[in-house]
Amino acid sequence: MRSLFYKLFLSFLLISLLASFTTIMISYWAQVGPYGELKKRVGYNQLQALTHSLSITGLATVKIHESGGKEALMVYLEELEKQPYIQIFLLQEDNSNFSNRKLPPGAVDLAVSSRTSHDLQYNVSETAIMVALPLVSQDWQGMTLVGSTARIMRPPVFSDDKETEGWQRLLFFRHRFGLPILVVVLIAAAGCYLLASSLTAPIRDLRKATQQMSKGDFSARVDHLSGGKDEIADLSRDFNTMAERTQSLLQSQKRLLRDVSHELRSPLTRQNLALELARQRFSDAEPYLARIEKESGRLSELIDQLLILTRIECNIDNAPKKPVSLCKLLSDIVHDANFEAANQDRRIEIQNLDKVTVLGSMEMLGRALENVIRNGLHYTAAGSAVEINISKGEDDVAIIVRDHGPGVPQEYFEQIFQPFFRVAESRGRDSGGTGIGLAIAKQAILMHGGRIEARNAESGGLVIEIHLPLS
Amino acid sequence: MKQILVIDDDKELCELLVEFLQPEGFSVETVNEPHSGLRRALSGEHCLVVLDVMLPGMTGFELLRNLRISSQVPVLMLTARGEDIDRIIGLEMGADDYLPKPFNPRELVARIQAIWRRVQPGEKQLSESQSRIEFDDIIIDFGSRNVKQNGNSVKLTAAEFSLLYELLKKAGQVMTREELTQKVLNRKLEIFDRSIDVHVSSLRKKLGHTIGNRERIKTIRNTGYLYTQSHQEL
Repeated sequence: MRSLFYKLFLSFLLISLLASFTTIMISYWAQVGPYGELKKRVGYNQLQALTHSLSITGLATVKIHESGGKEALMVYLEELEKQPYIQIFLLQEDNSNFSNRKLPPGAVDLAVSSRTSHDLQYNVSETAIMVALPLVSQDWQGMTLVGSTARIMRPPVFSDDKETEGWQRLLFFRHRFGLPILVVVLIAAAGCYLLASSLTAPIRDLRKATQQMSKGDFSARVDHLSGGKDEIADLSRDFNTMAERTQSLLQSQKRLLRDVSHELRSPLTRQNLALELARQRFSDAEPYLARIEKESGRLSELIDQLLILTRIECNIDNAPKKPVSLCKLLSDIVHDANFEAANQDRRIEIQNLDKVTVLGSMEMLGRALENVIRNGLHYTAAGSAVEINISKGEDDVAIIVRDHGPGVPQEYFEQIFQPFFRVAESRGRDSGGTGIGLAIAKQAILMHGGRIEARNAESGGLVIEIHLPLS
Repeated sequence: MKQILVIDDDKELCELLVEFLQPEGFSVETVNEPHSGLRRALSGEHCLVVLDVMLPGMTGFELLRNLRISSQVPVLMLTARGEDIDRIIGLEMGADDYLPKPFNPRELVARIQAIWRRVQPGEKQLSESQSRIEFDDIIIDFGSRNVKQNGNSVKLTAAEFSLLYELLKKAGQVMTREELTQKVLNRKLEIFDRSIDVHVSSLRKKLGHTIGNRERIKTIRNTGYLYTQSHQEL
């Protein structure tokens, strides 16, 4: 469940982030192409404008110098300095300017080359456009005007400078887009979280109901169908229908069992009463009446056992599990069984009895142990003992019951746990029992998550080994 | 004549029971329907009620619950064998004993007589034991079968009364479950038989789990029960 939630959440998040990243990249690259073209065109215009203004400025400079002398020129130059986008310098023959302003790099070279060629020179660099114009005047030799203007700047990310590429670009991104990216990621994460949890919540509900049901609470239903029409809502509805059916089936089975047990027992009860009445009237019929009583007892026992087996197999009783002390249980059973065993010259020996407590139903565990022990008592040879060994392992407890009887052929090891299975005719009726004791034992042990196995002891006799999980 | 009321929907069984119990010295009235059964049981004319669990219309448990609101007449429940939960519920609701169907008729007579003896203590029993015990907040009068706690009378079923009587007689001593089953229910303790534990638990509920701050009836694990005495705690 958890992993499904995270899978959905992470994949949604990844997909949405990937999508937004792709969108950003597409819009970014779409600007790079037009940018180059734009820069070229603007650069050309800038160059023309610069040349133009330099020519006019040059004419104006010469005229002002001729008419107003050096003072007027200085005033004019100061005015020029105030121009916002263009820097204009007037260089003398020794390449010094009048205002001691710092010249842009390359300005002197350009001025020299224009002076020697007596013509306009220009230089277009990545960041600036510079134009040098020699002034023509009779009494004022070697003066050059240099104008410089900045070009459109590529933002640093667009820079083609290889060195700054990697981490600087990232840094720029962080600087520029850090907050928006964080917001986008957070919104995407919140959205994906809601989406993933809205998808997994019904599954979680469904699982809760399933778990409740597997624990035996058949009234468990998925509550929040959220009115949805999606597949999970359908599944939940189907689950509820299934649970409904199972519950009603179980209830009718339970009722049937009760009715059957009642209906079968009523005639037996009446028969017992009639028998007792007959006994009071006809004392000479006693041997036959005793026989009838015995058979009636057998029938009653058989019904009991069959009903118990059915109940365990259908797992109808979902009594809560309680801690059961195996020692106490075993000593009760042995105490009880030893009475009858002593009459038949057989006995029960407890060889090893570790103090063990398991979780389960005392009644069912008791029936399992009692049936296995009584089975051993039926078959063990006269004068011998049924040996019991309870030893605690690391995560389970082993209960070993061994008799000193004829044992069981290997091919029947599985089948002796089936109802009414008899190994041979000779081991039939006279040995007593209903033939379902071991089947009940097996089901009861399975119900407790344990296992039961039969094998022959090396020195003869049957060994029944039960393993029950601890806690 | 000992008046017994049998409530069971099995008419044939009722006929046989009448025929069988009369020679044993019981006068038997049978009712096959729970509502009139409850009315008859409340009439106070009977010294014992034999009640079947499976009745049409109203289960034996419901009938018993209604009966116990105003009557403490001893009740013997006939349960289905194997339905252990029925036995426990029955005893918890105040049944005095139970007998699983199909029962041996002689066993039924034995159970009825055991309950009978508890309700009507014979001359011998009275003379050999104290007829009145005062212990802490409880006064128990064996003659009138009255139990008073701090002056208020407490309604106990016959089984609970005998249990309290046995425990008080030997207050401060451990009584084993075998001993208690024998003395209170007049039968041998069988495996998985938790009747006595249920009776002890309802007794605790009716009298309160503690006297002052000491436990009234102590469970001695794997053995039995003990009605505590104050000086033991000092």
